[in-house]
Amino acid sequence: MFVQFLKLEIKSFFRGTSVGINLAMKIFRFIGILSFIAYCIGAAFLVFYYVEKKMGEDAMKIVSRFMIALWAADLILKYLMQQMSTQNIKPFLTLNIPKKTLVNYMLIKTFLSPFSWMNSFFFVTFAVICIFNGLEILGSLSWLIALSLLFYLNNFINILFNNKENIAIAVGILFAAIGGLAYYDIIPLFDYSEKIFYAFYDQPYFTLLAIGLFAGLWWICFNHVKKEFYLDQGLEDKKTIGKTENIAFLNKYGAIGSFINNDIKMMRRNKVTKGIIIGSFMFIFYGLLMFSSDVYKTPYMMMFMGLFVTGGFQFLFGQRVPSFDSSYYPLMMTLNVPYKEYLKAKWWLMNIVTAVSIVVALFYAIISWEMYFTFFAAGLYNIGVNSQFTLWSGAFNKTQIDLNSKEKVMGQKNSFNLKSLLLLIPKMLLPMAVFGISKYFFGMTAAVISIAVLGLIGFLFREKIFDTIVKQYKSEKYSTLEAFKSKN
Amino acid sequence: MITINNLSKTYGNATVLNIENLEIPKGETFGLVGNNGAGKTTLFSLMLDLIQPTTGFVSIDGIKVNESETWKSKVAAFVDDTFLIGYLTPEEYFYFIGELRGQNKASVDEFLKQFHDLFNGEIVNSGKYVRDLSKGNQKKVGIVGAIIGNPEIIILDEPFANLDPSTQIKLKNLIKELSKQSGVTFLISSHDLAHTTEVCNRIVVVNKGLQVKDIQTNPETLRDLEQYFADQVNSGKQDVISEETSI
Repeated sequence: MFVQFLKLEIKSFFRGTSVGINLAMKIFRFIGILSFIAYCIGAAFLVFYYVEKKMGEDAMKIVSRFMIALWAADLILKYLMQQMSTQNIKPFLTLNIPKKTLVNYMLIKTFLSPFSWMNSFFFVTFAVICIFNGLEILGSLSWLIALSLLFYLNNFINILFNNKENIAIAVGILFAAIGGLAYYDIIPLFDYSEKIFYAFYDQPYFTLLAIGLFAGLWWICFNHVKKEFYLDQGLEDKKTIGKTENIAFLNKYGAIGSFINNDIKMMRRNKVTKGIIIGSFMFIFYGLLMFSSDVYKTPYMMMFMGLFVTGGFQFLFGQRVPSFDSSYYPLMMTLNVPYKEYLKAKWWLMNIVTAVSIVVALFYAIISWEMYFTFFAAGLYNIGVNSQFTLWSGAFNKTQIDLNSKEKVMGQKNSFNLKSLLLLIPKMLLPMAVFGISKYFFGMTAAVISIAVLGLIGFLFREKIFDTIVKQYKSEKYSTLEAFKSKN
Repeated sequence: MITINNLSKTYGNATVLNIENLEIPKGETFGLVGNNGAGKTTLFSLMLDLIQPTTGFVSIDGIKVNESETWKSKVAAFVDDTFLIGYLTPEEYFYFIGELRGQNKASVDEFLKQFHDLFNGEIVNSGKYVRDLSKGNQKKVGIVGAIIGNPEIIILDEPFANLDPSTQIKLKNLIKELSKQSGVTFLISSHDLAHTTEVCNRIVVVNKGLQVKDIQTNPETLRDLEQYFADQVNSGKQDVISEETSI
């Protein structure tokens, strides 16, 4: 039975997402996974030899000491990224397959995701190195088994608490609190961690405990899933209550207002776009990186940071402009609105958010006014110039986005494309160079003014640039429609 | 008036549509009938400039659809669920479409009143987003959305599929009424011969991309069409039998 399922999985891997993730992306992803595996193996070697040879300590002990943090990180990562897929299971429900098998299939499937098995490369390599270096074989193996089980067990915890946001938040606060207490040495968290995890090596019979815990959680999880194994319960996609709302004053601005209104609803009601909102918010604090290294204190890098601080939303949203509308792109293309209006609505939305970001970024003035003025100039450049260029690069982005799938918040990257990479030159390098050079020769005021002038020029020529972009979008229209049509 | 001239669409070696000449005058209720893969949706997609023709063109009131966007003010369409915006509530979807067609919130509300019956309490004020509605209800939303704002031409692909019997009857009445009172041109594709003959005053049959029949509807039409498709099936059988005997 599982062989059959496995065949289906392999087929779905190779046949699915035909356009969404094109071959280049598949290769990219594959390389990504390979390099992560290489990191895991490399880290195992590095940790072992660094600790043993340089520090002269017991590597097993040190690794065990920090294992609690890795474990917690793994759990958090899985909670954020992993979702038990319930869609593919529906066709099997009425086939002659025992429910037990289906439930186990769903549980085991979560182990197949790279997130689950990649860390095994670290554990296995580390255990093998330990054995080769004369540590106890039985102890090393039992340590390996116990830790692997404890990490795989995170999948079960994730299944049990997925979609229970309150519990997740509570656990998050608890983790943060414990982390904080450990940081200030109030709780000797790492000592406990060392004791617990090292025990699996020291006293191999403790592994039975891990096995018991794993089996127990499997059993609980199995029953939990089985109990809700109906179309209208566990297998149903979560639905939210729809609320009709409207930002009335936007209606005064005709089609552009309607589109902005619509985009705001889109941002608020879909999982992927919520990720974008959080991402753009984080970008506002990107400038705090300045404290991490002196590299960031050059005018070039200040400008670089400024572009992201004020333009986080613009970069995240603008490059995906047709992609976000991919599920109803044919509607957009037949509605009674010229393409230019459609793009202008997106342009306004981006610029409004950029303007707000400039205001919010005022808190950098506490650090230094010079910094804020740099960011302010960057914001003007974002509004005047980058808003158009970002929309332009969006025309080349034909990645289909399933707005409401949590699984793909991270997976859906921009399609890499030479033209959109080339557009990075006016977007990033030009303002950095202009700002850096004019500051070097003429001082701060001149530098801010020269960037502002560039922004103003872009702003004045926006109609011209728009016409070019519209042409671009039109020539890409049919292939974009084609790419958005194929279902994942 | 819609004019189709020497229109063809080819993917690789396969020609999926090839129509030499077709004119659809204003006010006509035009039915497009054919089996799966006959080219119905391809034809509609070409009319809406969603795909590029290999040869020829479609023009609406003398303007080629792939050269100017002015046709967009006259045409409304509901082809499939890619014409719905899943994260809106049905009302918001109607307001959105309505505003783009020059209506305001109040006039959309007024317009929606007549569909109270059709919606059966499951659409407006249902507290659901369009993506969470059933297939049939999504279809109702799409069709009503296409009618908002008095478009001159309405294109509906398979409007009867997925609808319950009462709604099918209501939809037929609605099409007849709009066509009679406002002179709306309808383009409707369907697998259902009975529905199509009932509402359409002209029916074109396409088969494997070619126009094979062009009928002004009369009392005999339904029987003719059924006969045509029955012949197709029988000749298909004949082919299989003759192939077998030749082996």
